Amino acid sequence: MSEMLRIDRIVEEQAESLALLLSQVALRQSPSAYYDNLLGYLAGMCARIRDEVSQEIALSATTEEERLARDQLLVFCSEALRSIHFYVECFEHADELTAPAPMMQLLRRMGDRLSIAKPFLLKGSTEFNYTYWPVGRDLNRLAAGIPGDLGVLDSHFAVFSFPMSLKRDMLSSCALAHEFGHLVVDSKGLVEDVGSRLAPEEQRRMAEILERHARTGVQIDFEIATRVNYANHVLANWIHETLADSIGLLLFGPAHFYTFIYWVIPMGSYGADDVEHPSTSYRLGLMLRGLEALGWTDTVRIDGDDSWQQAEQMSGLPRPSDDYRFQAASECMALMEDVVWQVAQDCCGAAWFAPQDYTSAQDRMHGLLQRGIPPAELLVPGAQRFDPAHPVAILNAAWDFYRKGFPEWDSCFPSLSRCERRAFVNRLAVKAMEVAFVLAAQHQLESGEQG
Amino acid sequence: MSVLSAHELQRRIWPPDDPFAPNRIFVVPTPLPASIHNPSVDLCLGNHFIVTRSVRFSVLDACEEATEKTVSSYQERVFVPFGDKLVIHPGTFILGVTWQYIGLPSDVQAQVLARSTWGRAGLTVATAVVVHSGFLGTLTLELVNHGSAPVALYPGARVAQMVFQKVENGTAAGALSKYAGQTEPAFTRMHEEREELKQWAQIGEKVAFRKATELPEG
Repeated sequence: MSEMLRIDRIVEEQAESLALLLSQVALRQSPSAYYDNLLGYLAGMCARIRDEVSQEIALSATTEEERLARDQLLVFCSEALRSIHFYVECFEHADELTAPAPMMQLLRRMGDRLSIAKPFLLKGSTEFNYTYWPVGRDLNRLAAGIPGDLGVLDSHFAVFSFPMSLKRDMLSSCALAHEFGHLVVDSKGLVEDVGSRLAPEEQRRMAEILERHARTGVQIDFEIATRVNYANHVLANWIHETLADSIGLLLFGPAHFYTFIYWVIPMGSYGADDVEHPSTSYRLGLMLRGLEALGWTDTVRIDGDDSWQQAEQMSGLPRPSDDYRFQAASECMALMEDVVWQVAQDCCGAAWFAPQDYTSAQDRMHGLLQRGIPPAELLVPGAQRFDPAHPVAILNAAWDFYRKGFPEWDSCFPSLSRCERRAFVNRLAVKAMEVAFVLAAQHQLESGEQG
Repeated sequence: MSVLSAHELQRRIWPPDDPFAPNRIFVVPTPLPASIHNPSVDLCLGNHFIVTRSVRFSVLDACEEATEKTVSSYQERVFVPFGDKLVIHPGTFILGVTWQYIGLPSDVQAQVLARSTWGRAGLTVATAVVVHSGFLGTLTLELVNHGSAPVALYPGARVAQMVFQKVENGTAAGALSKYAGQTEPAFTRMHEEREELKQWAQIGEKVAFRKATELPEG
């Protein structure tokens, strides 16, 4: 009985503190309607659980079975409240969500172009890395166990988190293209699509590879079947990851690649295979081959750019592993790389960022950056008007300008350190994207276009 | 120093031949030539503001070591999307920013002036009105409501105007001031003037100005 009272009290206190937190968060500045909807949904879940807890506490359990059932329900409610508390805490700092506002806008626009009408948010975190978090799916799983009809959230509702320390770093924020790629993969069921596009002969060969590696040192059939499942799970994760890389590259062009190489190379991280990701060297190789296939290599390769050379060297590094799952998945990935790339290309369709979208404006954008002006608008030759620059072209121009070592800035801005120059380029990119989006919207309004 | 005419302004903002002419005035987004009737360019409010909040400290003192930290606890950044508003109450002070990014050549300086439409509602938009030649960035606006009614501020509202003046032997382009290159309103950096103030203190010790009553007798 004393244990029962303790759980009662804990759950009640949890529910009260969560309700208080929700009311506090609701007072904060709201960055979007999605945010409001999610908070409303979480508040609904919280209220439902509070009702359930009150009812359970009011009822007197007489038999041991009744007490046990009530106990279990309260424990479940406690865990659910803890999960909701975690979600609400993540949304507590509304201001952080607006930090890279143009990046949010860009991703939304890409979502529209890819017909992904799925809501998502950007959130600053204290973590080291950028992450994709399918909140909708997780919350729906949680809601399924809560009594009463809570409705169903969009299962693809996602949160992309970025390191708070980089919230003003637009160059690094290009890493979000990869996280956005995960959302696309989930929304469109692309992993399944890859599987369905394999010819029967390829499927048979892959099954053979998985079984061969699963059998190594194992005799019992049941165990082999389990090991095949494990290897399959790793393979599915790797397909997800490489599809996200490919989509990031298609949508953001080389900017996505630069973010990746400038992220991993200074850390000296060669990223071994793991359950979620194939090794860094494999991913680099995939992206280099992708850039080549898309016609970017000659456009953006800069002689003497050490990072690029290092990336090429890293991509050729062997990936020895003792783990049968990684050996099996590596062998399978080699077979299906073209299919993965094809699926990503078909998915992105006309939304991909082509080299000519950049090369036609590259020189003018660099000229503006050299003067310390945001490359937001491009003069239309022969007409007294400016067109908004392509937001992805702005990101690529900023990256190229950075990679080239800020040409002309030694004479223009000699007092700025390299760190300050990077910060300045970031501010110029953010401002340019803000202006470009507004100009595009103004043009749409003037011409009466929709969308 | 002469004010640039509307015609000269059009020519500087829209250089007929070379978009990268060294004497070009950059106003991003660029106003259409037809919209430049007067010898001035209208400036709109941007989305970023700094509002002040009451905290437990006595004074903002540039000479205090902790001032940099104090200022950041005194002021808070707020983002207001287009379509939303920020209400400024009577007697309060907030920092805003222009939506336009300005790049001045070495031979032009500018002055930021309030538009009378807003002035008549009690709003002043700038107290530090001179923009030096060679400046790059958005302009921080010091917004004060001197009226007796709250005023709603909307990002995009044309609250100020900029008048440009020709300067002989102006600052070399790119010589950034301490507030240049910003795209959001900047906190005060009064603490950076601490050394300068310390020098005055040292001078004060040497000249030993005193009130008449404190003068030594004799």
